[in-house]
Order: sequence, then structure tokens, then C-alpha cells
Amino acid sequence: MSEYIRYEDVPVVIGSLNKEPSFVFSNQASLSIQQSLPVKRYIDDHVISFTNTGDISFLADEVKTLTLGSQGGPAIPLADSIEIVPSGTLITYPTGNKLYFEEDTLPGTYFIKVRAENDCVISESIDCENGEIEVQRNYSTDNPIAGDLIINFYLDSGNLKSFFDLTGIFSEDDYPRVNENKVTGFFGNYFFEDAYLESLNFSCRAFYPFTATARLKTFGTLRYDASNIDNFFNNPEYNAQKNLPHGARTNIVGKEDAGMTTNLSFDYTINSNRSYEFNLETGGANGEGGELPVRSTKEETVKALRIEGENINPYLTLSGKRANLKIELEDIGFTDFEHDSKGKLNSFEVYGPIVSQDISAGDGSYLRGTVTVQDTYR
Amino acid sequence: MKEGYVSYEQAFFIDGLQVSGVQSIQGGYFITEAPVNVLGFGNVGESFFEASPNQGQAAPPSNMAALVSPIEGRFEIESTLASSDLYLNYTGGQPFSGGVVYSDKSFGFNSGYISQHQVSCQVGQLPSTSTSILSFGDVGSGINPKEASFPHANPGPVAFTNQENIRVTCRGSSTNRVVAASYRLSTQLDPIYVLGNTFAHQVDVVWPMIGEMAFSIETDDYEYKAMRDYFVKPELSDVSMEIFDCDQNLIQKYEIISGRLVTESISTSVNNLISVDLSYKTFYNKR
Repeated sequence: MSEYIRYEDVPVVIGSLNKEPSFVFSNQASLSIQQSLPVKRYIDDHVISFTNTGDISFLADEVKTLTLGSQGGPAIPLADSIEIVPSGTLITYPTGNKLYFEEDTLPGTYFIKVRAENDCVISESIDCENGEIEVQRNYSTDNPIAGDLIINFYLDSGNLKSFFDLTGIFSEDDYPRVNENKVTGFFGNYFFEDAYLESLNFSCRAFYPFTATARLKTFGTLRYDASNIDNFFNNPEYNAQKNLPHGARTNIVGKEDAGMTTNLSFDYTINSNRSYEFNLETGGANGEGGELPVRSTKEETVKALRIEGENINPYLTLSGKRANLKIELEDIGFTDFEHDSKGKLNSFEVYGPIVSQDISAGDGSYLRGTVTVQDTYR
Repeated sequence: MKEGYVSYEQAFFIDGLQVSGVQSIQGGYFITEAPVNVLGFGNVGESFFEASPNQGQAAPPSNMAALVSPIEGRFEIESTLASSDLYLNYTGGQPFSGGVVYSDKSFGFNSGYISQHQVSCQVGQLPSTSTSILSFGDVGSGINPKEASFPHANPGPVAFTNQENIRVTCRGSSTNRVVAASYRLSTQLDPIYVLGNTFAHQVDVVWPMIGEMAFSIETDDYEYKAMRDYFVKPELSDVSMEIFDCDQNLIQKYEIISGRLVTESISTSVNNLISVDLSYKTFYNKR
């Protein structure tokens, strides 16, 4: 009997290239696949026309093989916008005549077998070029098949310095200073082998804990292993995270650049506009692994930090007023307790122009300003 | 050891002033935590860390929990009005401290704000007050309620009233028997928390404050209003409740100027007289 799997039995594990995979401290994850499949449709692909130049007479249950095309020729094959015309498909005519396809007919076919249930005459002048059928259409992709893996997870210093770091710069020795590599992992019983981090964002407001959201683009066939969950729990490898970042301690350094002395909240986003390159395969791309990119470049990586406080910075310049903001991510900072006692976990720096500001006030609330600083990293 | 403290061994203070007439106190702090649950394990507790590699250099943490809202305190004070109404002096958004003292111990609060204060009068009873206090500072031990951070308001001498010295003015009060009256002042508070600070950076009163006065009247010639009269002309009245001592000195006056009649309801039963309950409401602005 099929069974729904509870969340506590659905591990999320991710690994960078050449690094040990690790358990993600995640409280929500989703994996969705999209395929853009525009329909193929020609203006007359539903019309069945025969090349015959005279009336075509049928006796009841008689089957004839006729040539598709305009009267007098040339012959025109069944349009390739049609997936198939199944046996038994009805052809209707203006005079009320009816014919039926005798066998399954594929696009590219010139000669079709049709059958009449009753005696009838397909007239040259009215019926012959004006038969109509209901079409089962072909669809064809114009983009690679891709999935979105979205993981909501508890930020920590550990997971940010590996697969969730969009800059991909893990150490001072890394060169070139960009990392295009894929990550692999599994979500429950589903394995993905080609995933690429595209964005990371998190929002924090005063006195509340917060999580981050990572978005990865996945390619290729998902591999399903029904025993994976059991295998994982037979030999679990947990990331023993002991810290949760919290708004009670997390602070923003440099907020004075934005005209503020205190902050109510912030939203941090790092997003990479990635391009995926694919090789044309001579034998088609229908292998078991699916269609895989050979490279994923990072066209542009942009960081943005939107902070909310009691004021804005009204003094902008034509070349852009710069602000240098740094999020100091901290946990609660218990001094005599086992978890959430580390204090500073990580920092996120954004240096760039102030690109938007606004102030607002509403009934029952207070005046507040928001300032957004953008930093084009690469 | 293992003894208790009776009521006359306790005292309640506000801003260093011992308050008279207190009947009961309930209060404390309330911390809201949420469990930390992760995919692939569930609740993160001791068993999670035991299952994690590289444990051993330190004892595994016990259950993780996430603090999911600001920590605040709440107190409810029930009192008999034994002087002028002390609490009215603290309804304007000014913080104060207070707490219960017994023996050499105390349970107090600071950065307290009154969110609701009500005084009730009834035939056969002394006027009583009920006060709700929210604390955005600290709550519990380590706070000496006898210490005043601000000069305390003087409530005046102890003075008691009785039912014949309570004068009520409302619709029908001159020719019908008013058997109960109450006044309630509600204040919505908006603590503003900022990043990196565990205390409220600022506590605002969300104006307007709401004043409500309610009366219970046993009817003689009382004339009821019709609900739909509201669409023609809502009733606006000056209503008041004045409390005098036995020497006819005014102890406290509660008043709503141009209050809007918002409730009029009738009650009757086999063993009781017909009575009508009225309530008036007004809004007090910051300026």
C-alpha cells in the first residue's frame, strides 16, 4: 500500500563538487520541474484533402487508399504538427458524408486508408478538399528541461561557506575568483546530479529568528532510489548545527550611510543570472541522463540589501551615493547554554550605490524609511 | 522553611509608592518558544546531536528552541478604590516600575505601561479597580519595587466612599435607579523593536485611547432609543461618575464628554426587575 512520508523522514543532503555532501538544516524544500512545450499548429493541418479529380464513390464498409494533397496534385503528406491520427478518426464533410481512418496514421504519410460506414459519394466540387478531423497535436520544446529546487533552511556559518555561497569563493587560494560548479544531492528518495545555485535570500526583523531561501536550477533526469531514505537512516550523517541566527542580536554595520541609527528589518538577496550551455547531440538528447548543460556561466551576480529604519538618506549624488553595509549575523548568544551561544555566525557585506529609498507612514503605525543598496559583485 | 506569606506580609509598589487597597495581583513573564524541526529528522533535540558525527568534545546540547516573539511581562491588579485613582496618573504612556515585596524578596517589573484600567461601582460594594499592565523591560527578581526611577504621583489621603456618595449622570439617571456604573480606559501599546537589541527601543501609545462608560439602570420611566435612530442622529451625552467621601469631598471623578451611546440592552428575569445596560464610548486623541 502506498504511504505518505512524513517530513522527518525526508532528508535533504547536498554536496559541492569534490566535497563531502552534508545534511541541510532545512525546514522546507520543494522540487518542481517545468518544461516549456509550445504546441505545433498549422492553419490547415485539420483539413483532409485528396488529390482525386473526380467524385469518389464508397459502398458500405468499403476501404480505399487515397492520396493526400490538393485536387490534381501535388501530393502533400500529413502535417508534422499532428502527433498521430488514430484508427477510427472521423472525417466530416460539408455534405454530411462521413469517412473513418482505417488505421493509425503518422505525420509524413501520403497515402491513407479510409472507410465509409454507408454508401456515399465524396463529391469532387464540395467534399474532396474540405474534410475535417479533430487533431492530436505535436508539442516541441524550445528550452531545456529544468527544475527548481527551493530550500528553506536555518542559516549557519557551515552551510554558507560551501554550497550555499553563490560567490563560490571558499578560500583565499581559489582561482579563478568565480565558481561555476554544480552541486549534487538528494531530496528524500530523489537524486539530482546537476544543480546550480542561482539565488540566496533571507529577511530578518527585530526579535524574530529567520531562515534563508536558496534557489537552485536542476537539469537532467531525477534518479529515484526507493531505498535511499532507509539507507540514509541506517547511516545518518547529520550536520550538528547548534545555532540559529536571530534578530535580537543580528545587526547592520554602516547603517549611518543610509541615514539610519536603528533598523527594524532587512532583506538580503544575492542573485546570479546564469546561462547554461548545451551541446547539440548528433543522436538526439534522449539519453537516460536527460539533457545536461556542459557549462553554467555566471553572467552577473548582484547583491542587494534593503534595510528599514527610522529615516532615509536624502543626500544623493549624480554618480550614486555609496553605502557600505555589513550584516553581522548572530545567534541569541546565550552565555551559559549549549546552543545558540556562538554569537557571531557570519557576515554579509554590500558596498554600492543607494538605488532606492522611500518613507511611509500609515494609520496606527509610524514613519519608517527603507533604503536599498545594490552591489554588482561580478 | 516551608512557610507561607499571608496577605498582610506583602505590599505592592508602583514607582516606589506603596499602593493601598490592593485585593489581588497576578503577573509574570511569558516567553514564546517554538520547536526547531528539520526535514529528515524532525525535532532537533538531544537525539539529533547524539546522531551527529564529531560529538564527544562537549556534551551534546539539549533541545533546541527558537525564541519567536519579544519577551514581555503582564500584570493584573485588582484594587479597592481607597483614595484618588492612582493608576490614572500612569495611563498616558509613561513607563513605571513596580512589583510585589514580601519578606526580603520581590517580584517586580520595570518599563511598565497600563494597557487597560477599569473602575466599577455597584450598589452594596466599594468601588473597585482592575488594571492591566504590560512590561517591556525586565520582570521577576532583581528589581526593587521600592525604588522609584521617577517621582511618584501623590494619590492623596486614604478616603472611602459608600453607595450614597456616588453620583452618576447618564441618560435617565435623574428618574431611574442606577445600580452599577463603570469606566474603562483602553490603551493600545506599540513596542518598537530594532535589530540587535533585546529591549524595546521605543514604546508608543497607539492613539486614540478608548474611553468607555457603562451603566446598569433599573427602569421606571426610562425612554429607550431605537437602534435605527443612529442613522438620524447618534446620541451624544456628557456622562460622569463622581465618587465622594462621607464628608462630601470629591475623591475621584470619571467623565466622558460627548460620549456616543453605542449599547442599550434590556435584561429581565422571573426574580428580577427590568434593567437596561447602557454604554458610551469616546476616543481620546494625542492632542
